[in-house]
Amino acid sequence: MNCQEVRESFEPFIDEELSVEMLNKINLHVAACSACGEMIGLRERFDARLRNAIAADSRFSPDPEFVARLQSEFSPKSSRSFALFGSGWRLWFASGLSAALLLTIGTYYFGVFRSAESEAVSTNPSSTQPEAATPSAVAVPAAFRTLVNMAVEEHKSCTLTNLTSNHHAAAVNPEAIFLGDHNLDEAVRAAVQKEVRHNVSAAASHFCEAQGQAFRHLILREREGYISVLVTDAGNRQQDENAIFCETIEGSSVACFKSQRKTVFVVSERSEEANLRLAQGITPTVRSVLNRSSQL
Amino acid sequence: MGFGSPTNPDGLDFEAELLPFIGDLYRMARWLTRDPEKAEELVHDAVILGIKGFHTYRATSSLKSWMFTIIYRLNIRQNQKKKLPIADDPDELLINQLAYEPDIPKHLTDEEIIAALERLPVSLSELVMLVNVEGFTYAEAATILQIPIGTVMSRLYRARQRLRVELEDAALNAGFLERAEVTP
Repeated sequence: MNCQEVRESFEPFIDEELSVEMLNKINLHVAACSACGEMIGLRERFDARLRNAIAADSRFSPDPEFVARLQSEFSPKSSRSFALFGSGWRLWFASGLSAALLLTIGTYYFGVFRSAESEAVSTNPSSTQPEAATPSAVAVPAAFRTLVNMAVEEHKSCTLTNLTSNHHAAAVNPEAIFLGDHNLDEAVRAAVQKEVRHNVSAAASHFCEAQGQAFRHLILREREGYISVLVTDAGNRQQDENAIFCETIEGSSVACFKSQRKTVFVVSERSEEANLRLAQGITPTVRSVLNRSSQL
Repeated sequence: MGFGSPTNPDGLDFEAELLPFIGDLYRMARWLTRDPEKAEELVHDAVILGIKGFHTYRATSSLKSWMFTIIYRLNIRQNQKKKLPIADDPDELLINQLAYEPDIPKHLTDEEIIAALERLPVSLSELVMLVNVEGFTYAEAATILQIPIGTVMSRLYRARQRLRVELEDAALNAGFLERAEVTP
């Protein structure tokens, strides 16, 4: 293939819409042609930047109260009410009747989810890891102390310097190259949602910097508050990949684990045990995405 | 698990299947309506239709794609009711003359990037949202929008070109770029 033929296929190539045969032909060409490689890089950065911008914009996340109202539609009773009122459902929701109904449903959901969650933890052997089953079992090692403090204390309300892109993050901290960051954000959001068993939306997503250390910072909103997931370069710090550190710092629970050369933090207002369970639940997903990113 | 959620003949529970991408549905509805209240109403109406029609859903296509199709059809129906014209692309000729591939200017904020996308005709920006942001394949996007797959590809190409031009204009206006930098 020549450059012209390859460039005509850039869009479907980046969107992963080509046949394996065409994909191989383009990969072969790009491996030998730096100009085409650079153009593909431009396209990929363009797409990633756009995805990140939308994902980080809170206007495009639903109000948790709206999601709760929507869930109430799964009640046969509320569906009948909807049929009666048609598109004037807001009025119906505004009534005292709906408030009482939602409260009942909310209590029901909360009770079911919480009891199911507790049961899963206590009976499912795969949901706990021996090294981290007890929150106090793995204290934060000295080598990670500074990073943990940064993750918890300095990211509150995220008053750190915001960085706009991979490029800027890498400029601050050359090892902090978080390729595929949108994929990481969405995968983490979905994994957290699966763990907490109710809707979780991305409130913000950005890079930020503290003391020359760049962090990818994903802030998730759930009905019980906010959960921060931070990823940063682990540098030369050594840590057992199966261990999850956890502790409480100034009222925030933080769990921390290492994946290859990255360190991941889960910070929330949940109890230490619940936060650890959440971190354990999302660990396979986070590792998988970081692993894929590192292979790009 | 919802206690009143319908199941389809494959045994899938609508609520359990829907919940993971409620946020995606809202994002698309918000994009289409440009209004949070209308977006909520659109998602709500789509979910109600989904509940009623879930017995016809088969897992041969993704539920996300199925629900997005409902969202689009509802939105078109509502626009027709209000006699709002659906915007089209007036600058096709200009876009087709562009031969270079500028990068996104680095100093632009997320807000400026989204504003540039909002300036695109809906027929173009909705494809960027479906393919770039929501991750649908060309075939799924074609089904959702009820247009041929070739049209998906050509519109998407034009949308991305147009967006780059909008972003460059924004960067030039903000003083982040000089004219000479963008001359092919």
